[in-house]
Amino acid sequence: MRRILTASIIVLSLYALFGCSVTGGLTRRQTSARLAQLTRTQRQFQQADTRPQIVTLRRDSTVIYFAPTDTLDGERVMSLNIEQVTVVAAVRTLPERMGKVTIDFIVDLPKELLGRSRSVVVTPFLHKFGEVVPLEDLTIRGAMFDKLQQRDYWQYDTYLWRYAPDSTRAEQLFNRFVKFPRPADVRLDSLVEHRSHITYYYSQEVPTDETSKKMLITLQGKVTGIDASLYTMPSSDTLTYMISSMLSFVDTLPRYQIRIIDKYVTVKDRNYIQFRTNDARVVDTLGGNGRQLDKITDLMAQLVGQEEFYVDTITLTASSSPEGYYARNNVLARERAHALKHYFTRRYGRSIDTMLTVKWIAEDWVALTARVKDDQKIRHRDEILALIRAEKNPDKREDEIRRLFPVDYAYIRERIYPYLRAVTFRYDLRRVGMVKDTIHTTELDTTYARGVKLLQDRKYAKALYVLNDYNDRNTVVAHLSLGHDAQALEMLQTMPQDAVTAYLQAIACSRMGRKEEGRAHFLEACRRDPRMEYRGNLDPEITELLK
Amino acid sequence: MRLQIIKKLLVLCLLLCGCHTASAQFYTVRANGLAALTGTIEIGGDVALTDNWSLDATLFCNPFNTPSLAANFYAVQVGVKHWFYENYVGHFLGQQLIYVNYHLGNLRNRYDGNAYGIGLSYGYSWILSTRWSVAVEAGIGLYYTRDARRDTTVGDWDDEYIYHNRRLTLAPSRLGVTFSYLF
Repeated sequence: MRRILTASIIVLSLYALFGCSVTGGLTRRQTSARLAQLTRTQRQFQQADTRPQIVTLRRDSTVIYFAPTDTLDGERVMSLNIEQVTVVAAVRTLPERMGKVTIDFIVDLPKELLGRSRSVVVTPFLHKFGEVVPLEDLTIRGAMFDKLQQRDYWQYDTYLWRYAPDSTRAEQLFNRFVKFPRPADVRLDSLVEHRSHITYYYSQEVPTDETSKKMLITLQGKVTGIDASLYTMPSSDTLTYMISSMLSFVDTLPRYQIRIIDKYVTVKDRNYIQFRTNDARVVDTLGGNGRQLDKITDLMAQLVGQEEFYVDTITLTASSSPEGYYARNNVLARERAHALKHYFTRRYGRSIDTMLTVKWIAEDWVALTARVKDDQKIRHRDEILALIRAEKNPDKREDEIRRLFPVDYAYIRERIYPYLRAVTFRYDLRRVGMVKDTIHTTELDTTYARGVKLLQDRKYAKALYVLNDYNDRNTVVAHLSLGHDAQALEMLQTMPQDAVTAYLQAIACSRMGRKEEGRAHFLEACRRDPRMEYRGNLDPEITELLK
Repeated sequence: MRLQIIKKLLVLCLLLCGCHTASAQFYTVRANGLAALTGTIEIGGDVALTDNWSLDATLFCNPFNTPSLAANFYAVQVGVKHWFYENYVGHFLGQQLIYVNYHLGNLRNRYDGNAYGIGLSYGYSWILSTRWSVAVEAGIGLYYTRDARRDTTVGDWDDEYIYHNRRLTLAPSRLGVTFSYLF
């Protein structure tokens, strides 16, 4: 009997010793970390409200306290605000400013969760539209856990130093020796000696985009013991944040602009076709002719083939450069023009035969004058131009220039003449189905619409770039979203007053510190539209004005 | 007899040295503080075999031999320890093989003999710093003892009776607070 008793006592004590794991108790009790919203006083405290209730003045060794007072029954008494209740709603509204919103909350870790041989890792998760983003962890390690980590790292380093293995082996060794690697990229990594209740104020700036109207925060955590037992905390409460922004003031009415449509349109095209000297035949393998002829034909095909316009006439003008006798150049130009017409008719088709009219310029002095005027390299430019104007006979003109200014003439001949041997096409087009010569129509201003879309997608800088010239309420909203308060205010003062503009003026004034003015504007906005009073609750600038 | 003991000790030292040159293991050197308080020098060493097992060897020496009290013994223990978390950290369970050679006694009786035993112990080791640890251990062993008991107060002219005994007995195999240094 006695033996059985002693044996059972021994077995029970052994079970008690070895049946427990470090995190066994937690798993049984399902202890968890909690999330909480900040109370109003805590929020004010975090925003560093620098108006303390009691002012302390120290002079030498005396301390003087100043406190706000009130009169109660004729007596002056100290009056302080004490927040009694700490119950906060689970849903909070946050204002979005400059494309970002600051989400803050309190993480509450109960005493039972911590321990000497444990490491507690708590990760808040941010739920945005369709995606879950883990934020930075909070890690709290026990003293024994930390010492074990130190020893493991030391063992790993010593092993490397003694035996110098290669990198894959080193990685295996790391996994073998270091059972609990040190956390990296964490918001908090702290060591606790004694168990205590820990509350941590967590604040995160989140950029907003077109899908951010509601954001959720949940908490996930786990506790690891030095015996490698793991306890995953059950899911915590969810905190909900509604994001309010200036975008509710965006004016989504479409804008229209006036477009003038003409009945007659002219298309001009200038190309350079090379001919052999004194020859009028079109050679499509000479120089760049092939490409130029293809280009002309493509344009012709495009214009003749499209259905928005009728082609009234195509005028082909062939021009020549001035060298040689005028009479000869005249004949040459005419022959070349006709050769080109023949070429295009054959290439494109008989249909353009009647449309194509031919003109020629024997010596293109007009173009030459224009080019000489613009050219800096010709030294006797003004004299040459005067000569061209004075002398009526083109052959004589050329001779004079060659005789008087040989260097310049050589330059002109080499550089400018090639550009005078050109073929110009002029297409006279007439719009199909139009009776009047011009029509004024209103069409949707797509640029403005694009700007408004960018604004609604929270791409404020791009939206401002597009909307800047319009100077209306949307421009003001873009300026305010980017923080250009002064410009916004200036613009608002020129716009006709209504509830929304008054409200926006109130916000701009509040940001610039002009409280009295801001208050007046806000009251004006509420007078015009009573709903603005409720909107004021969502914007911290208005709360600041009414303090 | 003395020679035999010395030979055994030498073998053990060689064993320890052999472990020292074995590849890749961490080893510790231990000393028992509690034993020191009772006048015993207990030193030992551990060698890590795997991540949770270590081989250990301990030497005991108690030189006390006075007329009123004799607690003279030399012991050698060789054992293995199973560590639950990691080598040299946390809970462990040890098994040992023991050889003791003792000369115990009080004013009247003296026991001279040797014992062979196996022991089972349990302990817990705390980490003090990266290389130092302190462990508390308690163990019990089953010994087969062979000794001679004699009465030392017998006069020169009286008959002296020497009793030779062999028995199995339970006795502590490990008891102490050891400080160890990790290499």
